Amino acid sequence: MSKRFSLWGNFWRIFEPNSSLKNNLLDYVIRASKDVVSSVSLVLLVFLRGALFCAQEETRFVRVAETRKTNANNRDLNSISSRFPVETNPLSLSLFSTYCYIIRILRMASSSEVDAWIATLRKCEIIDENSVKKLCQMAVEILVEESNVQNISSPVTICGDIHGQFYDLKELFSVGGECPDTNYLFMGDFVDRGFYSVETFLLLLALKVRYPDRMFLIRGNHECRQITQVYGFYDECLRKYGSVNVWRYCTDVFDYLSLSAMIDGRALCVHGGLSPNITTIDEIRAIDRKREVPHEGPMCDLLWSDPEDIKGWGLSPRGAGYLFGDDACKSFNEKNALKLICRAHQLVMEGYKWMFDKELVTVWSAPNYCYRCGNVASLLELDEHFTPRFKVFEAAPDSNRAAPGKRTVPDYFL
Amino acid sequence: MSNNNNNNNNTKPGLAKDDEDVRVQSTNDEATVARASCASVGHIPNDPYSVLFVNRTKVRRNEPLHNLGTFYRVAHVRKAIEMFLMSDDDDDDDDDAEEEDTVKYAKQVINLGSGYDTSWWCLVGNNASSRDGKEESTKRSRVKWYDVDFAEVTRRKIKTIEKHEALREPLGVYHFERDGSELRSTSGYNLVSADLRDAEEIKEILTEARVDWQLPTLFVTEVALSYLNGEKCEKALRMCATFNGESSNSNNGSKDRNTVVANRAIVSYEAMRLNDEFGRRMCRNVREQRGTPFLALEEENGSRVDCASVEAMFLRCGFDSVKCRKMTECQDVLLSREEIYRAERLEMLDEREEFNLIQSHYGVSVAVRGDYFARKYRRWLMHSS
Repeated sequence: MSKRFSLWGNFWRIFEPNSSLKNNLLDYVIRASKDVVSSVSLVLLVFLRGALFCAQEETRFVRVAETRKTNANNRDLNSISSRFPVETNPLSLSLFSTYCYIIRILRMASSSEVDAWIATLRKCEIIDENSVKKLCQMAVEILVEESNVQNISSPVTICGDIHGQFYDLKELFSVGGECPDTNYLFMGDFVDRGFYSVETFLLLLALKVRYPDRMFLIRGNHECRQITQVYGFYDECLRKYGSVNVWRYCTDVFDYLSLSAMIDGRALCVHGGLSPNITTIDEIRAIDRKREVPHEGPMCDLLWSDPEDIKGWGLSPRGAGYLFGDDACKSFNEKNALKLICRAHQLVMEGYKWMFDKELVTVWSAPNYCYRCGNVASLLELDEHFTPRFKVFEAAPDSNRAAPGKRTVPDYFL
Repeated sequence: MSNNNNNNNNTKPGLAKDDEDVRVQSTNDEATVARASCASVGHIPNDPYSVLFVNRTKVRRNEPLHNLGTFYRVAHVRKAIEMFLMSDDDDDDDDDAEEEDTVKYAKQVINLGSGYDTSWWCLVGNNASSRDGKEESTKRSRVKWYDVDFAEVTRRKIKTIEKHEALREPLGVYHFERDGSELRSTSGYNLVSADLRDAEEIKEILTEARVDWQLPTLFVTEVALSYLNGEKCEKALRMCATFNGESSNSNNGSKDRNTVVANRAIVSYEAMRLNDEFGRRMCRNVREQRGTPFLALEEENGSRVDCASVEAMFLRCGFDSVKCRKMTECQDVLLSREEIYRAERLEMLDEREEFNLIQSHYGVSVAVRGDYFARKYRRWLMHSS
């Protein structure tokens, strides 16, 4: 009885004044008004949506509650989840994927809000905290469905570390083409170090929400709570919003980011490199990724390892991940029928670097890294025939960027 | 002439010299914050003094990369000074000196462009008051130490010293000179105000401050020469190597005097250009964002291009022997493996590439004149890199 009540309670939410559901609905009404069949399906959809909203809330909160088991101080979350029965409803689960499909259709009809965010972020301005919260929720809905190994088909443009260098990201888009005209895969490390981690990550995330099939983001070692507290993202959120809520929303999204991407089944893209504990792609798929990046183990290695001119495996000077030699890389490629491993993670002054007889490539997309390294950056375009083409670009000229406010990063030893 | 050059080179034409001075001085603030941050993380275990010079309630914490770099900088320079201060194997006259009533100084350290550096408190003041054995502490107390910097900097340094018991106490009895911009103390510690860019002025002021030019003297520079152009830098170094206290007019190098000059050495931690993209960007950023150009580095074929050119400059200026090492190639020549291991594990560096890039553009040079220092720094000078 109580269950049915809560179900109806959610259904009536669509009549709340600011309900996005209502907006979705209105959009849909306009589009479908000429079509009687659509009208019928609309009614069906409304019912389905209401019912599935519950299912979705339920699964999400169960999931969140699981990942946050240790984080007991999040009272507001607990209070919401307690309103829903914790045991999973088989009917709602079976309809879950249908629901997601419908949500996507509805979202396409109502992308104006996301478009507005994108427009703001493109100007290197932040969006308000509530919008961030909403954007992050929408992103999680998409990311949660992605596999640990995202399948992408060519053509695609692959980018390495960005590190909050917003104006250089804009330079990247002007060199590689705007999204959604070009398909993009960003291999992590969106935040930290640069002055605009918030704007950079939120823009990429908004593009992901707006064009989920054209923009792919995978996780880097900086997309993690611990590292962001040391290297700048945490402080930046605190500075720009006056609270750490935005950092919380974003780091929650980090947990859902995929770990790697597979292009046409021939190229594996990952932030760091290989792990001695992973010999097949299926072992990556089996990782439970929805968590903070651990200090060791296969998930950590994928995000932290580096290729090196050694034989086999070695200890990494970074204190996490491993060094792997060309034999380790080649045997992995052979076993998994891969032609190429694409990774980022290491600064290369020339923007990209081939290793191991062109079986591995490092792509670096942060020109003049930390505003002091003087390096060029690159992006890798893989076309339909799988031909790699690098586009090298320099940092955006000073005339194109707003002067950063008070300096917070000491540059050199003076 | 060269002053005009400075002004012409600046991005803002007609920049007043005073402005430039203020900016050069402000680099000291940054170095101080860096040292304080580094010390507070635990990189420099026995330096509670650096923090006192930071004008804030809470010490800003720099990024780990910067802390580690600062550790290598401070640790190398201090270790080099410490090697000089350590009792010599073959000085027999030490015992006689101890019996005398008046303090007889045996060694001399002159830190050019010292800023708020606290090496004296860590290496000498600290020991004189407690810790080490009595013998060692008496020896340490016979070190004459001069910190040299702009009058504005020394004034503020004096203010801070007066404010904190911990800094004041080791000085013993002290008094001020030259409008309170200089300090003399019975402990052997002196603060002297002078402009590094004027070697002639420095000679006079140091002589006036009773520098004993006959003592074995170690000069120290930490990112100070980088701000001088090649010509001024060489003048300053020539003074370090060969000036023996005679009037500047007769300074035009007679060979006799060179043999008279006592033992001299210089330890210098400075930036290098390496003529690559990073080096060019470093010159540009320091000039544009700090307004305090690394004049020595901006000369494309100058004396701060790489280790070889730095070494050549020291030899040109009158030193017998020199070795310049990039920070990435110092390894355990001066520091022990344990020290390096401890520092590297204090804070996790998320990446090495950028750190190595920065470190390779800084180098420690030790240049010596005379057998005394050649023996002291044999390991540094001989060790092949």
